[in-house]
Amino acid sequence: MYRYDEFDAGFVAERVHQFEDQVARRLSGELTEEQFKPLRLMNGVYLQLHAYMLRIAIPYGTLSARQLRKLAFIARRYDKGYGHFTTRQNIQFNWPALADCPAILNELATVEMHAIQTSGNCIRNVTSDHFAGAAGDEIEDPRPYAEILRQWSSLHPEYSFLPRKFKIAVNGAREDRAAIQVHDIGYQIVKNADGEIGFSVYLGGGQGRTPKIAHKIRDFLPKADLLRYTNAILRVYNLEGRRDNKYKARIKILVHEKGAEEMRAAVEKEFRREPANALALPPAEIDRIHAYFAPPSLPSRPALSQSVEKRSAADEDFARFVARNVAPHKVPGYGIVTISLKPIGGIPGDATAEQMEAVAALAETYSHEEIRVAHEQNLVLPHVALDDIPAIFDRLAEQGLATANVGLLSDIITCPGLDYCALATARSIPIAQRISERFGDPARAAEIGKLKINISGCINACGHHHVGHIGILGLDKAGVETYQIALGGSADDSCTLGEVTGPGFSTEEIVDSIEIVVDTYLSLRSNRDEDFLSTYRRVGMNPFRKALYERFQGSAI
Amino acid sequence: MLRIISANRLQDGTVVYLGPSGDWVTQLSEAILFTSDEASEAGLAKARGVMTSNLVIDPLIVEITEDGAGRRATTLRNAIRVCGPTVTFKSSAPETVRS
Repeated sequence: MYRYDEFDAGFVAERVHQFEDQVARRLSGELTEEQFKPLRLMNGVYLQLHAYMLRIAIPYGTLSARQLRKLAFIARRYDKGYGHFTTRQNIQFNWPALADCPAILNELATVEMHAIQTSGNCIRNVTSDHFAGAAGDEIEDPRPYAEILRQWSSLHPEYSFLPRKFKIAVNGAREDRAAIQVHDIGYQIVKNADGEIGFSVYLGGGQGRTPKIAHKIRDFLPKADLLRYTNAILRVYNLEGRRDNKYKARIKILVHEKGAEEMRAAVEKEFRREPANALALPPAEIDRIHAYFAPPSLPSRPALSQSVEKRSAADEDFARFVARNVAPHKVPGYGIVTISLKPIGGIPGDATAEQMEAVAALAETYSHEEIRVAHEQNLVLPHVALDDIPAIFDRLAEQGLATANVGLLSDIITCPGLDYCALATARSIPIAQRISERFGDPARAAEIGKLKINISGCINACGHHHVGHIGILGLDKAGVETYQIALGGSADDSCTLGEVTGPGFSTEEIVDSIEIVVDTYLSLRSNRDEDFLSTYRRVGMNPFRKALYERFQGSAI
Repeated sequence: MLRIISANRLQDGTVVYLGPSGDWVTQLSEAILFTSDEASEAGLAKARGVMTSNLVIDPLIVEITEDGAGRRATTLRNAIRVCGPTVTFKSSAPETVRS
């Protein structure tokens, strides 16, 4: 993992000190709310419906056991004993007192964490593949580049007041697990014909009220040019991005209005305008950052674990856990264990202080002290010996964390919705809970297979509903919660935006509606191996629409 | 139509209501009632003025109903502000958590 140097530590400590002073001045009345609000937002402090919320950055979703223990401590000491892991690989605390926020940031600084740039019109937390450094299909670990981008963009004076927020994702595996095509910039690590490793560049993707899939504007960018190219994109955006209308201010709108080809030309022109050595990444610096992410030493082990085989044969729950929650590691004899934060009927992404501490302990014992946060709101132990999985499963089960549903229907991405969020127009968590309960039976879930449901409580799409195989959007229709369904979305390398089925459904109808969609899929699939998305792409919207509106009229939203 | 003035307490974000003596109370039942647009707008203006300097933020007018069972917000959003999340979050053991 990256470790703070003297500069980083001093910089974060100074920011904490500044915020301490700002909060004191606000509480004394010296600063008005109008003066203070931008300052608190720069430090990740939002106001929700019934409390403040503190959003803490987890760079590219990588956490140490020590950091997770600190988050557990903060949850217990300063909040209500739990935290919420988000779709941007961050964590949010829903109940901190403003007066306590400086103390919380002080605690975070002791474990090299902060909340800077988790809000505002700046470059937000750079996200990445949660299996980075461990995945069998990886070309190169994306985290060193995400870290370089993080360092370069932190409090960058030119990019602290962009037209709107700006999100960058970096993926290093062949499979896109970082949803790069729905980011402002998506960097995909690739190998060119000469065997050189660099980046394909995707620009102008995003969700929100105007969802767009990114355009690939460059097939290959040499590593050395990562910052120079990013700088060129941001220069064009900063100059030409709209500041007259916040709903049209994201770079996706600029790309759309200008046209992808013209935008590419503008970026390339700006890129070439700078001297080639400007912002060039020296190989030695890339190597220095890479060293922080060196893979752990993993002793050679048999590819097949007898203890896993034996336990799987005798324990159906364990076998299911291995099948669903353990992914192949690049080193034989090891696995990547995803810890589902989606217990059946639970709140997606929530973890109690005790659960965080239990996961930290497992990371210390079994995963080289590393944890990852997935944008699907799960946790990951990235480097686990297969022989240790039975013991891990047992510890997880004690904490209610052994749900074997990764990638299945109940592994639902959900924003906090109207239960917490001041922007939301409808609740999303209760809908996720009811769907999870409806499809909670493991045998039924296995029969349905891979199916991603994403739920947002407003058009800002924090719950990624545009790219759910089934997306649900909660809206307020004349004071009543109404839920639109979209089908066929996907955030992976075959990125597509879901298509809305038609009129929305009431709170009472929505779970039955999802069941109709699922039953329609089961009746249409060509065989058990054809997953929901494949079936949808083959048969299209009509049979689903017909089945849905034969039963429900919908609410004409 | 009955209205009250609500806000979030500056110190900790707790939802509060303007009380009869110009103080901020945490119980909806103790909030001062306004029965006309003019009165509630005047109350809001006052709340936005001197009283908000370092006690509360984001004051707003909230429509409520009142019957034998008590006072209730008329919208789900405001009902959630009054009662908290409609979902039961899992928390740490109570003795280890701040109240």
